[in-house]
Amino acid sequence: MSSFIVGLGIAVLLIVGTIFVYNQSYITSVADVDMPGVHVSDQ
Amino acid sequence: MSPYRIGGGIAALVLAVLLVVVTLQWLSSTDLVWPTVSVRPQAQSNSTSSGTVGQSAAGAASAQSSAMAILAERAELQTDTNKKPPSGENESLVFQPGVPNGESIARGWLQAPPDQQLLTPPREVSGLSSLPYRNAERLEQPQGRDWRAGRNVPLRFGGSWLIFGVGLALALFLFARGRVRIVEGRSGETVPRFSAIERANHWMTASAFVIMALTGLVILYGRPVLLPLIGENGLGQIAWWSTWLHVSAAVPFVLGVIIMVVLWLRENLITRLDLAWLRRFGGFLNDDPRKPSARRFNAGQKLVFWGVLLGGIATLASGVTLMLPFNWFGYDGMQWAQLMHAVVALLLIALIIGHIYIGTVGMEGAVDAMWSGRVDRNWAKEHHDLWYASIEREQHRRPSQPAAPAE
Repeated sequence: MSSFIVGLGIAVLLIVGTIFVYNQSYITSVADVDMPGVHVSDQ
Repeated sequence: MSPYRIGGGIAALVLAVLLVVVTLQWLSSTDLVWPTVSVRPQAQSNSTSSGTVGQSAAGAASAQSSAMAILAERAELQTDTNKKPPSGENESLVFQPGVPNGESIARGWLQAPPDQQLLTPPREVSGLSSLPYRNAERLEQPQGRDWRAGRNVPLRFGGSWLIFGVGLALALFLFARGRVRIVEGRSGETVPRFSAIERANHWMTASAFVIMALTGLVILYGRPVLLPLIGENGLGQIAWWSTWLHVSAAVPFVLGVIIMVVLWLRENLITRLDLAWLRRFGGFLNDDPRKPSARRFNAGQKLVFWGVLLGGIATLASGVTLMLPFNWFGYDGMQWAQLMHAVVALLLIALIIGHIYIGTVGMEGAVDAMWSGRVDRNWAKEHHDLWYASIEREQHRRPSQPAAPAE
């Protein structure tokens, strides 16, 4: 029982952590976009 | 009749009805998805005579709405894409009646019988695009239609058949056989089976797998199954969260499988005992207490281990390919990656349904192994005799750790 809760808890933490980290890196990568004729500050 | 057998019978009835529904829908489905641009049969018959194509296309080009004009223009773009860049002065990129290549290709399309594909694989049509996105240049990709048809019909219906079929087989087995009992009954004493780390890792991996399986089914079946029930907004919300959860749950799943390899690989190597175990189907078919010999993991558990490991590698490789679209492959490779991901995942789901069945309702005492970490002595003796003997020897060597009474 307790190991089930521990396993489920770690899985949830890793999922939430992945979503958080991915969101942060995605926002950063979008801000770094520098395509010809496209500037984030213009949008 | 035991409640388990009654439950198995009810489940078998429900699953049989579902299988009939899926089969009827499969038989009445069509695997050909027609493009929205329609080609009138009249245009086909007219196009057989020389010069008629040009007249028909010229009239259509002026209206900018004729299928002939669209197809011919794309053919010209394909022809010239490697010769000249697009520009206002480049007249050859605009469709002109009478240009040989465009006319012949367009005529081929228009003369094709309506029940055949408009484009002939593997012919592709590429053009030129000013968008900073290389795939925007791909105007027609015939394999895409085959992929879409394959995904919509054989993959979806085949996957439904696989999952419901495995469920039906197990339900019928439960109905006919009942639970696999501990033949000599519970002894009242337990022996340690799995450590806390093994169990926590198992449940972490299992939780992640269940999340990925459910969200993956939403992604694959959301449009035909959920859309009519909850509408576009509802499906949009669920599909959005399903995608996020599906991708993120891969992290604990992959981590869990790696830890399982470290913990259990050596004990899951295939031996001759496994063939004997499989030949007798683990002794599950009758209540003979002399089950085929097994060490810590029997052949069925090894099948799950290797299935999860190899299936996990395949779904991870194809899944990462889908997460980083067009990083390694073009359209063709992405479509194959999607099909591979879905097929392997559906097979894994079927395998895990069997694993869950035998670990819970299918076998008395099995769930204790992963729930409390301890199993009844008689269960261990019947299903894992060699492993039990080694436990016994170990306990005789270290008498300070006797078997615990069952809770």
